[in-house]
Amino acid sequence: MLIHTDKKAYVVFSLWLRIFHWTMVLSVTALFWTGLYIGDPGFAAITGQVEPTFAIDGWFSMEMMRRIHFYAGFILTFSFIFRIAGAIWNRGDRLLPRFNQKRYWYGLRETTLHYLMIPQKHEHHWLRNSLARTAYAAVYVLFFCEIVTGFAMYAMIEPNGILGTIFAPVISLMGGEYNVHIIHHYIAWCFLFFTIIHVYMAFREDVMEESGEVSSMVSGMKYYAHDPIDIEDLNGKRRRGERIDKPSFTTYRPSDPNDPREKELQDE
Amino acid sequence: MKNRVNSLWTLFQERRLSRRTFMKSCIALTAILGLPPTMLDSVVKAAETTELPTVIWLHGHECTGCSEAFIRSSSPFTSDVILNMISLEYDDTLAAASGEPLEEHLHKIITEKSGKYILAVEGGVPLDDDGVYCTVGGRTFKESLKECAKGAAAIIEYGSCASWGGIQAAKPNPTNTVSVSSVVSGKPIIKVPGCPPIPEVMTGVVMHYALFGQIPPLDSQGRPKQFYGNRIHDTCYRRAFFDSGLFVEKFDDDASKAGWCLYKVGCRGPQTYNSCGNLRWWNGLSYPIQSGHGCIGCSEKGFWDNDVFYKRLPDIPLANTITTADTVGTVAAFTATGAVIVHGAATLARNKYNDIQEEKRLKEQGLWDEAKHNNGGRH
Repeated sequence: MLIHTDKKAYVVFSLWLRIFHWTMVLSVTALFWTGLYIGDPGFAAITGQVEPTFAIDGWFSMEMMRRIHFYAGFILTFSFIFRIAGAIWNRGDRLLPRFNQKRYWYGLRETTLHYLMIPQKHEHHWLRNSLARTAYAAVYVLFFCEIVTGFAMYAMIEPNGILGTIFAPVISLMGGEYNVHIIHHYIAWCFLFFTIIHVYMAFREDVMEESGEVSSMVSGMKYYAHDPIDIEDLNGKRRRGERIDKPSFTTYRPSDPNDPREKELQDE
Repeated sequence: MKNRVNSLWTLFQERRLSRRTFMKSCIALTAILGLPPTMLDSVVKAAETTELPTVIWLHGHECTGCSEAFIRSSSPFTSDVILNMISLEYDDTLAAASGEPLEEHLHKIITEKSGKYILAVEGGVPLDDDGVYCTVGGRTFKESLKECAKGAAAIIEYGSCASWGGIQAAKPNPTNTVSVSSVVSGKPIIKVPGCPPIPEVMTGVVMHYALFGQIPPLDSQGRPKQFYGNRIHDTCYRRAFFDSGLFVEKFDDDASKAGWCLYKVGCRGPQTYNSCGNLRWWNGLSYPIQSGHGCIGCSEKGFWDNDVFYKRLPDIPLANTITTADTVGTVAAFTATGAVIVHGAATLARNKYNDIQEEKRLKEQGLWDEAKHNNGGRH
C-alpha cells in the first residue's frame, strides 16, 4: 500500500460485479475453447487408438465438449443477467459511454492520442476512459448476440418446445440456422481480441498510473491523487463550479471538503 | 354410387376388399402420416366418411424432380394415391391428355370445384419481367398460379422451389424467383420443402388432408410437424459417432469406410429439419448420410447459398477470399499479441526516455538530490 500513500482510495466496483466478472472470465474461456473444438473437432482422432465403443467416455469426446460448452453457456448467461442487474443499483458498475456528454468525445480523442503516445498538454485521470467505456459496451452487445444465437441453436433440440417457439423467429431473421452457426462462430473470435487487448491495457494502466487497475477487479478499489474527471459517475455529484458538458481541462478542483475521506487525508 | 360419399371405405367396398384389409390399410396410413396409434380411430372414421379430394398440380420454375420423387412413393403407392385416393384432375407432366383440352379441363375444374380442391404447386414463381421466365400453355406461371389459388381450399408447396424459391433463387437470383407463399396469401399453405421431398412425405401430406379435411399441424415455418419436427442430426444413426468425437476427415479414409460421422466434411444434418433419418428414402432403403455423403440441407431455406457443402466452416463470404474465420482469427490473434508486446515495449522505452530527460533537466537545475529525497528514494 506504500505506493498509494499519496492517493485516495475510491471504491468503484461492487463485490457483486467482481464476482460475476470472474465467473464470466472462466465461462468465456471454457466457451471459447470448447466452441473451437465443436467447430472443428478431432482430438479423439488425433490422439489415435480410439476404440469406438469407449470413445464416448473420453474427455475429448464431442459429448463432453458440448456438455461443458452448454454448462458454461448457462453460467455466462446468468452472470450476464446478474451483472447487468447489479449495474442498476451500483453506480460504479455502470460506467457506460455517455454519448450526450462533450467529455466523452473529448476523451475519445485524448485517450487515442495517449495510447499512440503522442504528447499532450493535459492528460486527465479517468475512472474509465471513453475508449474503455465504448469497448465494454460493445462487448456486452457481443455477449448478448452470442447468448441469443447460442440459445437459438440450443433450443432447436426441441423445435416445438417453448424455447424453440421463442427462437424460431430469431433464426429466420438471421437467414436460417446455418447462418446462426456462422454468426456465433465469427463473434466468438472477437472475444479473443477483446481479451488480449483488455488484459494488456489493464496491466499497462496498473504499471503506468499505479492506480490499482488490476487489483481493482479483486478489491474493487482504485487509487487517484485527485478526483478523476468523471467522478460524478461514481458519486452522482457534479463538481462545483463546473458544467458537465464543459469541464475545465486545466485545473483540478479539490473534491467535496465534507467528504470524510477527504478530511482524513487532510488530517494526515 | 351417387348417393354415397366417395370415401376410401367405399373404394374398398367397390373393389370387394374385406373390412380387415381396410383396417390394415388404415393402420398403415396412421403410421405413414406420422400419427400416434391412438389416432387410429379418427383415421378409420375419416376414411369411412370423408370425400376424397380433388387435386390440381401445377408446375412452375423447377426441374420436375419433385414429381420424380412423388411417383416413387411406395407406401402408399403413388398409383394408389393418384388413381384411387385422390382425384388428380390436372398435372401437366403426368396427364395423358395435353394441349388445349387439358387446359380447358383445368378451367372447368377450378370453376366447378371452386373452394374445394387442393392446389399442389411444384416450383418457384419468377417475378421479373412480368414472369415471362416460366410460361405454361402460353401463360405466365405467376398468372395461372394466382388464378388457381383463388378457389383452392388449401395449397401444398411441394419442394424447396415452391417453399423457398429454390436453386433458381440462388444469389443473385436473376429471374427474381420467389416462393409460392410470397405470391399467394389468405389460404392455408403447407410447406413440404426438400430437393426433392421424401416421396412418403409428399403422399403423406396430401393423404392427411384427404382424410381429415384439414391441414396437418404446422411448425413456425409452415412445415408439417410430423415430418419436419426433428433435425436430421438428432435422428441420424451416425449420431453416436458424433457424440463420441469420431469423424470422417476425408471421403476416402478409414473412418468413412467405418461409417463415422460426416460432420467435419460438411454435413448439414445439424441444421436441417426433415425425416430422412427416420423415414429414409425408397421405402426405407437409405438416405444420403447412410450412403456416405453428408446432408446438404436441401429442405432448408437458402441452402443453395450455403456452399461449400464439403466444409463445416465456409470461407469468409467476401470476393476473392479463400480463407476461413478460424485462419483469420488465429492470424489476427497472434498479430494482436505481437502488437500488444510492441506497444508495451514502446511504452517502457518512452518512459525511460522521459525519465532520462527529467533527470538531465533536474541535474542541470541542481534539483536532483532534492527531488530524489522528496520521492522517498524511489525513482
